[in-house]
Amino acid sequence: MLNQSHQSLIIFIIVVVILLVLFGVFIVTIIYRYQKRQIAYFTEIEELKVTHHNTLLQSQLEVQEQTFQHIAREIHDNIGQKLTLAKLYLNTVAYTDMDNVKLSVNDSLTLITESISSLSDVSKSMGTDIILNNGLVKAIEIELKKLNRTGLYNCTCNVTGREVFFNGNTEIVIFRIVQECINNFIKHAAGKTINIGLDYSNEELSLMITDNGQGFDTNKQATGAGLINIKKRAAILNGSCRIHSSIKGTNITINIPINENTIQANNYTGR
Amino acid sequence: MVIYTFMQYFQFCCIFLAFIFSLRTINNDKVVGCMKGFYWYSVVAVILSGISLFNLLGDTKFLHLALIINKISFIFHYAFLSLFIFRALNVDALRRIFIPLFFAFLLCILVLLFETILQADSFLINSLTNFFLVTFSLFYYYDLFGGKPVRNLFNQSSFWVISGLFLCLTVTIPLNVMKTLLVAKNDMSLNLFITNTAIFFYAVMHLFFIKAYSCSINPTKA
Repeated sequence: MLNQSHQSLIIFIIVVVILLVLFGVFIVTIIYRYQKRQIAYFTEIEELKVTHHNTLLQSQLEVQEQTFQHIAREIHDNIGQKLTLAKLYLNTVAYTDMDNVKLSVNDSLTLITESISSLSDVSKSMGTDIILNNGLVKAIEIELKKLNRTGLYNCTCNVTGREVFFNGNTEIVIFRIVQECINNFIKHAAGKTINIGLDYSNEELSLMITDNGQGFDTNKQATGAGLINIKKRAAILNGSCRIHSSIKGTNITINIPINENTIQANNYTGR
Repeated sequence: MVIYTFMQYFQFCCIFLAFIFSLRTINNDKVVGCMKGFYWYSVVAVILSGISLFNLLGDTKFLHLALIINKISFIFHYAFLSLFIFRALNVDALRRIFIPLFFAFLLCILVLLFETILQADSFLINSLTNFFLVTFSLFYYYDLFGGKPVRNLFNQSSFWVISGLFLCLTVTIPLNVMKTLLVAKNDMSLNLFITNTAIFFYAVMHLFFIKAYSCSINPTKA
């Protein structure tokens, strides 16, 4: 009887140990395979982060390059031309004819004054003080006022929701997007009105730029530097950009997430 | 029979230990979502194990009542653990399949329960309940490997609960089937051996629950 009990116990222990070992192998296999997948997943995420970072860096460099080109073009085509002309006037002054001297000097003065004004405009539009001192909304309003002053365009700005003050860099990038859109409107749209809408919600800022220009084929024009710059700048801010265009006008919608990385710490600068 | 008695005590000790650990999770805000309320399983298990031990000690006055309670406990066992697995699932597609299956299986169990409530034999309902739970456990493993591998399994309460359950069930299902056949053949010694093994693995399942309770409060230190 004792032997039988002993035998039962031994068999019982053997069976239990075998089952436990089998299950142990099962658990270890599950954990091992899961961790293998986890390592592969995190490696992939890390690689994606690096790629994303490189893309952003590349975009920033391209945007910077574009800005330099804009400054160079402005200096060469506008200010440079005027100064060259002023120099030409002064070089060709015939000192014997005082009326001609007066005329040449006056023309040169006008050209130099215009050049200084143009330089000031370039400086203002490129500079970040206007944004940092006044905030994004005010800076956009100033930009639109300048356009309205020409009498050629009717520009409006609508703000809905509670204005959020982004950190300086973010506001500059958003402002550059608006400037790029305005430039595109002036150069290509042949329209009269442009409306810029800023809708602030808790999660994001929706920036809507609508004009009544002739529009363009979004598929064909998608390779244009201006639109690419807008998209790249939106991507820098982890935002999205949708462009809709028809013969009645163009609508560009840019959504920029509002989070603790993009807004100012106190979110109010007293401006 | 000595082994059987020992196993009953061992089972009670494991369940009681799990119950002690579960006390830490009661009204504790730090407990992870899926483990909230899980202590009820240990509470019921300790009561049922206590009744079982009480019967073993020789008092057979409540044997009939104990049998009915034991049978009803299958519904609790099935519903409680199924819902736990459901809460641990992340993939929506699996959750959508899970709900109708849960009710269909529940209906099967209820029908079987009312058919056999007065019979001493509970192997069939036990096997069926465990089979359904194994199916749901496989859902969990599928979910684990189907989704993003961002969890730390060592500190994942749901992983330890479901793994303990899976261990217990995968062992007890074939044992229950064998037991049904052996009882028919009146091979009592083998029958007892199988019962002991089932009890042992049920106790081991509660040891897994202890690990899950430890992870549920402070996953990083568990």
